[in-house]
Amino acid sequence: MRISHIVRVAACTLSALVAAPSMAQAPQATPASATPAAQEAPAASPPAGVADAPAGTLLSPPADGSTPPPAEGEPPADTRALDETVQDLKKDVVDLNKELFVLEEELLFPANTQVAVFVSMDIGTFFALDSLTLKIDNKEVANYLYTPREAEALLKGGVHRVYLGNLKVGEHQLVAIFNGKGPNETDYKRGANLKFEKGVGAKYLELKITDRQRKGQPEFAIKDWE
Amino acid sequence: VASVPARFAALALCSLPLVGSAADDKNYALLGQPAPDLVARGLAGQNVRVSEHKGEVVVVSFWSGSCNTCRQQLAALDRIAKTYASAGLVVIGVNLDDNVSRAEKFARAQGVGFQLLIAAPPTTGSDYKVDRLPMAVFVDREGVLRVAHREFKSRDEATYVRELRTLLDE
Repeated sequence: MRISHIVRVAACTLSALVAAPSMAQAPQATPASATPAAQEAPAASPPAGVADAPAGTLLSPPADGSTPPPAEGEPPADTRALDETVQDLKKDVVDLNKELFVLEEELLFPANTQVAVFVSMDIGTFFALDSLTLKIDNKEVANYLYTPREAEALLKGGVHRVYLGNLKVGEHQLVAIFNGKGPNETDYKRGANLKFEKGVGAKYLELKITDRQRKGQPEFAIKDWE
Repeated sequence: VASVPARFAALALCSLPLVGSAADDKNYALLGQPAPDLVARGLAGQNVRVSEHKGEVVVVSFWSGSCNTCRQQLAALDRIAKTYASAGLVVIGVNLDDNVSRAEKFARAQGVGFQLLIAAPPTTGSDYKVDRLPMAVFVDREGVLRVAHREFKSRDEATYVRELRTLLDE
């Protein structure tokens, strides 16, 4: 159902993209150049009757009942319709992208093997995060450098998903190594580890950096979200 | 010992472009594609991420401490950066030497005002398909890689300015 919808939207997008140039060119395909007389006329010369009209005078609509030209400053109806079509297409593309993203996540990281590791930070008086290295079962799976903006976002309550991967059911070990500036602007490197059991459902782990006020030191912990 | 081959490699890269001009490289494979993300430690000690500058026009210049032309390019980019910073131009210099301490010394000697990154990840060169130095790529406000320049000659500064102004005006 979802795939058919995606295919339908993609087909719609393609057909509209193919149709768009022809729509845009449609007004130019007027039969002005079809008659030999028009071909012989100089390109810059105005149509008969226009040159005599005073500036700003609205010309009366053609007697043959064709569509009158749009008022000055207002886009022609064709352009408006095209613009609306483009906006609709843009919205379809955004929706399609969202659906594809969800599908991709479901396919690449099915719930029964999914493991996600998040980083959060509280206060940050005693520690300024610079980088984080993550090892699962002694294998380095992530190494992330935090920019000042990212560190600031963490301090404002943001949570960063530093790793998303797959693990088989069973016992595993997670080691996180934090690098940064500790109290008194000194280089600071600390580790935290956790043995966890991966069940049939998705596993979410949180690396929490908090300040321990009494000791004047940062604290690093790993929380296992059931 | 590890730095010697790297130095030779950098010298070889610098000597390659002695022929030909430094015009835009239309054959650069990444043109029109989103710029690969790049994060590395800046000379000032803070980490810098290229993708964080989306919304600004970004110049990423790849350089080496053993490349004379790189100095000229960094100096030219410094002048451009000072002029157009207020218009939303960000210049990032990325060092590709293996010898970090030497690169850091060289970088400090340049005295440029923009961010110089050292100890870039080993994949940086291949991610950006850097095959000669100096090399500069221009990334537009949407994060798309629009222009690539291999080599540098003094007259290229005017070309840089013209192209960057076009990107800044978009």
